[in-house]
Order: sequence, then C-alpha cells, then structure tokens
Amino acid sequence: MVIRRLFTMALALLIGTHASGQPPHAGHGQRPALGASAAFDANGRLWAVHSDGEHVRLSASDDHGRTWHPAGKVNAEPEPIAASGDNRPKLVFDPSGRLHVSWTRPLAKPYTGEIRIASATTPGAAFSPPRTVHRDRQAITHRFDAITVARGGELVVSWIDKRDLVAARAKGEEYRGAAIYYAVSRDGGGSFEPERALAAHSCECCRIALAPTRDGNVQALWRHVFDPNVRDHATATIGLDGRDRPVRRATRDEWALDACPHHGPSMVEDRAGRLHAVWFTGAPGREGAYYGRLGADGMEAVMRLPDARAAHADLAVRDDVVVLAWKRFDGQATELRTLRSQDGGDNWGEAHSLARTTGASGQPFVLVEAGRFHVFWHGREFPLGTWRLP
Amino acid sequence: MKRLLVAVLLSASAAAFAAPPRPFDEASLAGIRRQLDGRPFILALWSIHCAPCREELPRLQALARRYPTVPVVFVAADPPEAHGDVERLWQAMAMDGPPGWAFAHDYLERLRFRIDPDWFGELPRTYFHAADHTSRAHSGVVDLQQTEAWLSAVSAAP
Repeated sequence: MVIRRLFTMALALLIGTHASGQPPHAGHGQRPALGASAAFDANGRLWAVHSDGEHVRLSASDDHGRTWHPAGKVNAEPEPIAASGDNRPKLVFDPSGRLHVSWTRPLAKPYTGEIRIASATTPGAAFSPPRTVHRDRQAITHRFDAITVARGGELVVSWIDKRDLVAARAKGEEYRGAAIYYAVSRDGGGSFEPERALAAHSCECCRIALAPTRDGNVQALWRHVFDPNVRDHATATIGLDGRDRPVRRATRDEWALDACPHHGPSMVEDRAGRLHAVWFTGAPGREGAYYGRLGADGMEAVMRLPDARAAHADLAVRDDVVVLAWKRFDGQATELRTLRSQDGGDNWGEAHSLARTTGASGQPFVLVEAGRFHVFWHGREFPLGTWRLP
Repeated sequence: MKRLLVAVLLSASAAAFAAPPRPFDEASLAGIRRQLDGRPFILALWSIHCAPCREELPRLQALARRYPTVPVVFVAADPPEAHGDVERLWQAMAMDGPPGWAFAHDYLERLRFRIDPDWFGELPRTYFHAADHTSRAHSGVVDLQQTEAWLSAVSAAP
C-alpha cells in the first residue's frame, strides 16, 4: 500500500500533477471531471486522453502506464467537454497508425451537445481542428459518443441522438427515449458520411458499446427503452456495407424505470467470433453487474459479478482468456476488482482487488497488449493509473 | 404589521431566485433529519443530466406546495463544477425558492452510499420519509396520484 502510494505520487509528479492530487492546469479552483480513456498503439506505447477544463489532453507512457508524460492538447481552441458519469473523451488508432479522439461538447442548453472528433496522422503530431461528426446541427441531444475502428479500417462513431424525439414532439406525438445514430468515415477521419439511425428508443444517458467483428461490421450494444419503460439492453449490427441488421433484445432483466441509470455496457469480440459483454441492471431482485455472451436469443453463460455493489464493469479478451474489471464502494473506499476466465467465460476464478482509493475516480477499462492485460483507472489519487495483471 | 411582513417574505421566497445550491456532504442528510425531527419529508434527488428529472421536479414541487407541513428537500447529485448549471436549470424549470442542495464534491459513490447503500445512482430517486423518518425509496419519476395520497396521509397524521 505504501509503495503504491509512493508510486502514485511519483506518477502524479510525472504528469505534472500537484501533490494535493489536483490534475494539471485545473484552473478556477475546480477539479477536472474524471472521465478518461487509454489505448495502446501498434508499438506497445500507451496513450491516454483526459479532460482538463475546456481541453482534452493527450498523455503517453512507454512503460505500460507506470510513468506518463504530457503529449499536448487535442483541441487547440477551448470548448466544453463532457467527462463525468458515462461521458469521457475516447481515443482509437486506425490500421495506418492515425490517432482519433472523440468527445461530446455540451452546448448552452441542458442535455444538448455535439459529437466532436480530432485526428492526428501519428500520435504526437498536431491534431486536426476538431469537427462535428453529424450533419444535424440542431441544439439538441447528440451525446455519449462511442468510437471504434472496423476491421476494414473504417472509423465508426455512434451516439445518443434526440432528433426523432424532437420531430415527434413537434407533431404532437410521444416518443420513447432517444435514438442511436452513427456515422462512418472511410478516409481516416477526413470526412464522415451522413449519419444514419441505427435504432429508435434508446435510453438517454448510458454509454454505448461498439465491438468490431470479424465480418468487418460493428456490433453495438446499448441500454434501450423497451415498451413501456423497460431499460434493458438491445443490440444491432452496424453494417459497413450500408445494410444494418435489425435491432434485437440482448438482456431480459426487466428493469422498468423512468429514470437515468447513467450506467452503460461494454462488449468485445474474441478470436472465435464470440461476443462477450458486461452490463448493469437495477431490476428488483437482480440488482448488479453481469457478464454474458451475446447469442442469437440474448445473453448466454450469464454470470452475476460476485460483488453486490459491482459498478461500471468493463472487459477485454485474448484467445480464451476473458478479464473483467469493475469498481466497488464498500462504505469507506472504492476498490478496483478483477475477475478472470480461462475458458471463454464458462468458468471464473476468484475476484480480487487490484487497487483501493478513498478519493474520487472515473470508470475502469481493461486493455490488452502483447498478451498481457492491464486495467486503466483514472483517479484523483492516481492520475491515469494503470495496473498490469499478473 | 408583523403578519404583513411575514406574508411579504413568504411571497418573496415563492419565486425562483438566483443563489448557488447548498453543498450537500456526508453529514448533510443527518443534519436535515435533525432539523426535521418528528416530521415527514420528501428527499428528492435529481441531476442536470437527468431528462426525466426536468419533468418531475416542477410537478413534485407544485403538488407538495399544497401540503406545506411536508417539506421537499431537493438535492442535485451533481459535483461542484456543475453547480452553476444546477442553478441555471433550477431557474429554467421555474422552480420556487432557492435551488436546494447539490453534492459538495465529486466522490459521488461515497455521497450516494451515505444516503442509501442500495442506491445505484439512477435518477430521479425519491425517498418518502414518514414522521419517524423510516423511508420508502422510489427510482424514476414518481406517480403523482400515489404521492398525493401519501402527502395527504402523512399530513393528516397527528
């Protein structure tokens, strides 16, 4: 624990953080929100983005996140950046090594926003000025961006969009929830095709999971609003051939709720083409975080995560090894917990704790690089904290 | 004269006015309970990020106003950097009075746990406290008819 603490302080100094735990360039006495993301490039270098006031900042690490150095601002001109709850800036590398960073820029009116993206030809090079991904420029909800790269190299950005709700209300009609929209770039982020609706009636405030699949498409998983108000998950295929597959139900927890859970899923595909997912429900009697494999009729091999208060789970997979990570608050401190399966999610080991903090923290994310698993967890006590799993 | 002054003060308070929300920390709920000892009240948690809250809050306040012996304590589950937005949204919703409380820091799970270990953070979240402060939790927009029935029952109780 002491070593961890020293390590943390050293880390904090390395990325220019004051010993008080204030991330760099906080300004105005306010603490930046804790939404952050990390990704390995093809050379095994780890990159992270986090928000700092009205800038997204890029950091780089040559030692798997033990030490970090600043690598510049993503947006040269300041603008609001959503980085709390299920919002955070995100980064992906495409096959040509270009780095793309997406985020949601909140607008002046509550609940409104735009999906922004900036790209750099190589990490460390200057970023293009940020652009808005969608053509729809109404001051309405375009929020909770998700970004991924399909196997063919296409860049896919998806988000929660309320244009259809706004249009329905203008006609005096009701509309359940929001919608999932997406846009595709086939030229490395240089331009985006006009956005398309993937699904009507999504939940309004949970992150979307995007999993690139072997067939070149992207499978999306999100919290939906099934009639009348069941906030379970739906899934659909973003067809890179321009043909989307119909929406189907993925989870059946029956969480009937007129509220914002602020708690979205994650999903990844393994080498054999199986889709592994984690999600959360508050359905009475079923409260908790779950793992499952997405089959034709919903989730299979479903396992409730062993902690009663498991929250904000994420996962990664390599061959048959599946690693889950999540947060748990025990009344005193927040723990980072992990669990591993060696057989593709059929059997699971014992959950164990990787880290513990009595400070505020963001959501954990599992990364895999050169066969090793890492958990990235940005916290006040450990900015851009990264733990390598044994 | 005194009565008139009180009436003027009350009417002044019955309109949204600009004020920052009060910081709600780990000790706040215990303080609220002490202050409202022996009285029923509603604890209404909301957020600037919660679209259903926007519809619920004005309705809940309007309804509760008809039962003045049962206070509604509004708490925005938003950290300090969002308190300006809390204040602006409070006014945009045409809520009466000052904008209640808002989370004093961004260690949100600790503040949530202190309110209720079994609350996952979904909003709106409403706690109906009886006079002895046993409470019933509700996630999501409240049913106004049921709420009115509850308000009526607890107001009528001796």
